Amino acid sequence: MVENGEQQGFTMAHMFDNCAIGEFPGMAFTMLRQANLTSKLGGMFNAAVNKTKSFTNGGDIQWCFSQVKGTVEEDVTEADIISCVEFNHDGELLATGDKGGRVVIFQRDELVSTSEGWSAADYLGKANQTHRGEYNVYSTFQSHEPEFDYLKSLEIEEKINKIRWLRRANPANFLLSTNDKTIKLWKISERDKRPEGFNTKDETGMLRDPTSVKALRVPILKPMELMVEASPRRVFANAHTYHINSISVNSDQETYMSADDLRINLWHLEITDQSFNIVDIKPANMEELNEVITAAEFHPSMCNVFVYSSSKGSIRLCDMRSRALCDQHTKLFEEPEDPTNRSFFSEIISSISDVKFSHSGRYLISRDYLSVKVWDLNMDSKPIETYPVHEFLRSKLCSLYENDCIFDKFECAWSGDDRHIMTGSYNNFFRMFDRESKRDVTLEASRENMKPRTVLKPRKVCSGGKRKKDEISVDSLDFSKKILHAGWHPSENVIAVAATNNLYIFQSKD
Amino acid sequence: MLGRVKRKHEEDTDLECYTHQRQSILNISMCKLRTSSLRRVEPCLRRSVLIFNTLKFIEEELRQEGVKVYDASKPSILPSIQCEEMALDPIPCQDHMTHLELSSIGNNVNKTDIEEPKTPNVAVSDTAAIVSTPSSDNSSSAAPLILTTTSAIALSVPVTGSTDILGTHAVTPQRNIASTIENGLDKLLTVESLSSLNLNSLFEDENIIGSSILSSLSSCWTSPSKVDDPLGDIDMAGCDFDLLSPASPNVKLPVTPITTDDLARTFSNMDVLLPSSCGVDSCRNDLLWNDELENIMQVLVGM
Repeated sequence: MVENGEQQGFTMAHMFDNCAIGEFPGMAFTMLRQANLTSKLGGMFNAAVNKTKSFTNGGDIQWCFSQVKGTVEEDVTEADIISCVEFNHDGELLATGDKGGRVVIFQRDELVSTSEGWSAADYLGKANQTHRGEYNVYSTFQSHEPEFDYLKSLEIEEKINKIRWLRRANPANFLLSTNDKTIKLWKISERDKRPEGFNTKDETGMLRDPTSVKALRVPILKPMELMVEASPRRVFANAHTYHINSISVNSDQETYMSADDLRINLWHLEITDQSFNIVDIKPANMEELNEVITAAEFHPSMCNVFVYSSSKGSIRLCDMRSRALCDQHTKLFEEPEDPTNRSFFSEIISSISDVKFSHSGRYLISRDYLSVKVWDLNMDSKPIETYPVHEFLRSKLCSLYENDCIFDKFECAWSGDDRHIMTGSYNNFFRMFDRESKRDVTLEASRENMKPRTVLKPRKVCSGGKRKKDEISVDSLDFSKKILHAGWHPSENVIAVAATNNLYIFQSKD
Repeated sequence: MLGRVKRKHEEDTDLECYTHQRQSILNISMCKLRTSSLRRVEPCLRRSVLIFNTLKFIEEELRQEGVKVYDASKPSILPSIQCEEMALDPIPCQDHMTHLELSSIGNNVNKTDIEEPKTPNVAVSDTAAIVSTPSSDNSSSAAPLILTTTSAIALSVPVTGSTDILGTHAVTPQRNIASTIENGLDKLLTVESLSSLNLNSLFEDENIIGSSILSSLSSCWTSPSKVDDPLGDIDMAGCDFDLLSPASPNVKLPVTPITTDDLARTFSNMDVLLPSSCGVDSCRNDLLWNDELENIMQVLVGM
């Protein structure tokens, strides 16, 4: 509730902000009154704000540069390449994992405005300087180390494939991180006080002779410099023969699942020595293998429902109440292949690289090589929306196959209000789709324009015909710079975009 | 009239372009499968499966077009002359196998030259291992094959696990009986029809064009008259497998340079099935060769 209050204050502040610079001050105040009337805060309020925006700029979010993390140097160390990005449930923490097995957690600075009561007048005066808190390094730790599989004579990389936060239940934060084989549960806790004034122990911590203690003294807690500790609490190992591609914490916050290429296991967070196999698509005869699991996720509120996607472009929804082994799906979301677009690469490009439930739980997005599709859980015959991400690459598939780019696994993300979708592309470009206005924009993660509150310039790729000014030709795209991983703040328009070894944070202008 | 001719011409060039593209995709796929097994980490299963499916798609298309894809139902599809040429083909995706196979066969062809009694045995297991590697890699259904042919020996060789393209564990319940078969290769060399048929039927299942070719290849080697010809002049007597330990990575099989060149030349006119003819040009590079050989040697010597 406190959180909501803060959020309201924050949002209101921004409405004043709007009011100061916006074209419709009357509108902003109307909305404010409406908001006061409604008892529901948070998401409801956000929706109202979005509506205000739709009057001012067509609902498009104006994205501005906020921060960039990581080295400026051109030559990239392999271990520094970011391999996953994940906000926690309130968006105050942001975790990244890299190929070197490290996890870096960023924490958002507290806003000055929330620390004491600010009057509207103060806000109007400071409107141009205030912006949301910045994310700064909170904790860094080595989550996984390289290992060697002696049975197979193969190395096991330390690369962090996925990070998932647990909902916060106490002052400490918990997250799951996984490489190809092993999942670990980490506790990230703070310590900023230490007990002082024991008279039963001496300075070195040795117990004194009890006979020399004449009085009982209660130790007192003295403040000290903040220490953030990350400690491994559980290690879930030896349950996956193939590479783990997804982990997902159940809404009950007691169990989670881990998916590899052929199987999905269900774990209890407290139990490391056993897990239930809930999906197994490994054929008895490996010759018949023609499909692998590419991603899996639990429903955000129904703890018995999960989905997994496959390399053949289908998404299967399973209900764990029906049977223990969910080999038989409850629903199959699949779009029939378009015969006009059939090519050698039809299957490869239809392979789904990521699947995500909307926050509401009503929709799914799936990312394949060239597009993002929105599925309504109530309709499995075809997607309700399809957004081309980089259609101009369709004619380049052969060379993308040759250089292996066609196997890149792009992720996708929902905005907090489920209205916008973000996903990555090449040349450090990423794409934003507005489901309501059906507009889309291509943006670039670059250091070129790092001035705060300057709106990012939309990029355009020339898709045949004569190249216009400001357009980039397909042939000059840099395919080594790809945005595979990105995260969207759970309630605000703040995004974190991983571009090779740099993490960019963008936020909406208002 | 003119228009129709023109369109006809366009169709022709389109078709040509299409087959050309298909050819290059085939070659790229072969290269990918070959190189993916060279990495020290387990290859990405998703990628391998997608490449395999692409190959299957192309093979299916070729089959529909009436291109002779060798299958079990027609083991006699290869005329003897073609067989000879086939035997020279270095298949890009599996050429490490091919070379070893050739070399081991060379070894056996010149069996009389070899004084040490132990050597033929080594060669036996090597050959068997290699011939059956694709089968034990990808299947547990290889059982009938294993039981009927000499390839059971293959399963006693750790080669199966490490060259495994799909990153799977070979299921090897036959491991124990494998070692009991000692004169395996002799059988393999004499019982021609049996082994070729079985291999072919296996690859028919697998449906991978490269393997189909490999299978037809193996059916060729099993006929001694054909093996004699291209390899008769290669003296394998000095080729002791101990030489090829990881400690001496630069040692090449003597047979390698000869065969590849020959093969490339003799095979250049075979356009239909050629995952190889273009693969040789585009994919081969000596560094890779060395690495690959070294890798295989490690596997073999380490067994």
